Amino acid sequence: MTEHLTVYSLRRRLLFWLFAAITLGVLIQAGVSYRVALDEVDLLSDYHMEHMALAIKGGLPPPVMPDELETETEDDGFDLSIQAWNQDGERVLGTASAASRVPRHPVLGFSTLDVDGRAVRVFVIRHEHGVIQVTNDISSRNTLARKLAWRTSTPVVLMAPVLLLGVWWLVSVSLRPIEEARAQVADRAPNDLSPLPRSGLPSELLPFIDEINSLFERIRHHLSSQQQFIADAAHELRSPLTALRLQVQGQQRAQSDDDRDMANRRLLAGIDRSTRLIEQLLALARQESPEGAPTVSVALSQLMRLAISDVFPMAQDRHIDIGADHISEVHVQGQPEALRMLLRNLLDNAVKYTPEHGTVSVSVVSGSTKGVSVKVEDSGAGIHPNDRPRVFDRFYRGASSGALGSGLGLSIVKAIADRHGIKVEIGTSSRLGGAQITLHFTSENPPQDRSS
Amino acid sequence: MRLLLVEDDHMIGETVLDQLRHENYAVDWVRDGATARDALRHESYDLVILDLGLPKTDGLDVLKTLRASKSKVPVLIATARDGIEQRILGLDAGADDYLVKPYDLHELLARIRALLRRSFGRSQALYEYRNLSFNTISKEVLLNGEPVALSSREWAVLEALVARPGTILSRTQLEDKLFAWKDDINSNAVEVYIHGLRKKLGNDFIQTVRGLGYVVPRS
Repeated sequence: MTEHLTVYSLRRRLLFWLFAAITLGVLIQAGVSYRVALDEVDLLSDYHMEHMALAIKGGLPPPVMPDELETETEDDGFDLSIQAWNQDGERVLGTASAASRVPRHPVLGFSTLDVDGRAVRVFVIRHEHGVIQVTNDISSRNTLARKLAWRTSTPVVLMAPVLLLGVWWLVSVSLRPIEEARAQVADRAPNDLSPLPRSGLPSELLPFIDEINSLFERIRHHLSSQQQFIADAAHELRSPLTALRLQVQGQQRAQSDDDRDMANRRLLAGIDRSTRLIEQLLALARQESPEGAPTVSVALSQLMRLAISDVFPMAQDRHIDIGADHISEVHVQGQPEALRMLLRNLLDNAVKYTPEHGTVSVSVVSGSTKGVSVKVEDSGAGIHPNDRPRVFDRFYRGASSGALGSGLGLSIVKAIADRHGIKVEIGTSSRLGGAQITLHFTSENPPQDRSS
Repeated sequence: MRLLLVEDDHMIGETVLDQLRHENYAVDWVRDGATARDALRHESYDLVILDLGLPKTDGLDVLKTLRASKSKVPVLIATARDGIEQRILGLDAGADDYLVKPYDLHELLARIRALLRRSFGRSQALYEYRNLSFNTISKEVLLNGEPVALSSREWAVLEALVARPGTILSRTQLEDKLFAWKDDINSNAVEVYIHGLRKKLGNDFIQTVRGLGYVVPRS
């Protein structure tokens, strides 16, 4: 709504072109009328000239003719002047004034002459006593034609404003639904995402309204998922806060040094847990936000080494044998930090849910047909098939997880995987018996084999 | 007093468990709804502290099952569900009290005491029985106005018996009130505590009903 630079008004555009078309039409009509009138005036004038000449021929020699015989009348507008010469070449008749008199023309019949810069139509006829010449000013013909053309064009010219008014009204009425739809959108409260009504709208506008409504729907879905996320997060924060409060009070009530030491340890663990939950929440929010770090070519094997070193201390504490079966030196397109977090979360889960003295094994395989895949398997209890569809849900913890984690690890994995077009597959490790999570880097994320 | 703590959060559970034991309650801690249901079916408790968001079976369902089995055990819901509707739902499902996380430890303990008191038909923390007066908060017993030093286990046995004067409690019932699952139970532990109590309070205070158990006669 703030973009005014390229905005144009459909109404103004329609009105402009319709007005232009109507005006042009009127002008063309007038022009054509003029042309037609001119042709007719020519024809009629010629006819008149011939007729006049013949009439005079029939009556000649008229002994006495008024010296100045102007046959011009307002009615027909024919402005003819007549001259006659006898056989001796003596002018016996002349109706035009000396100034406008056209010299005798030697060619019989019609001809168009240029006499002192004015165009003149001349008709010459011979009879036994001499020559009769009827002259007619072309300019007078034009005037007459204009007059006639004007007469035929007048109604159209007069009608034009009425027509324009009509068009203006019609355009306004036709565009009113757009204006109404605009007003509806403009009057909306920011949180009102109910669909725009489709009734009373022209079919041309419906697809647009439908798209807007579908956008509303998507925004609403997005917003409600965000609200749900915030509600869930607030809810989830209660547990660590409850634990912290109880731990502090437990510490206050401790009566022996041993009790106090234990309470302190628990309190620290509680703070660590809260910190981790908040970090995980932040990580998830970042991964789900539309902006992100630029995509570059990432050495997956190197990332895997980093991720393993991240969880290595925890694995050692729990006497878990963590290592790689096979690491192909492959590169993928992605955001290095995000991918590292993805791998670390997977390994974190694997180590956390594997009993002490268990095994966690990873592999990075670059198949020739299937693309790059990463596998993380462990010797833990595995993920129950009933839980599998839901493990990616935020804050979902499987029944066997004992609520150890934040319930966000796999949500973060999913968010990063989705962003990178990675398919995550949950299965059971045939070798170790625990969970097996496989990442398939799809073809949209073409692996670039640069093993050297 | 034997309590069942139903709490899936490890950190909350371990701290509450410790503090309850510190208060001389015998506490069993279960971490999911299904186990809670089993425990409630097979054991008798004086009070249940119930979280609602539980794995496997929701706490509300556990509560409904419990009430459907005509159990009158006091239930204190301690949950993160803080909505008004959720509280109403919980109380209407048969809870006696509703505490929202994060809660205060002292408040939790006070509410537990209040619920236990009420379930024994008393409305005050201090009560008297014959020439004895009990303070359920400080766990003090006065005999003719003189304080009597009782061990926590002795107090627990006495409290159970005095809670329902005239009711005969078997040794097993008393053991149940004294020990949680994980405690080692000495076969004659109850006799030892009864013996101690008789020495401190007088022989006729707790009477033995042969073949049945022990009773504190109605005054």
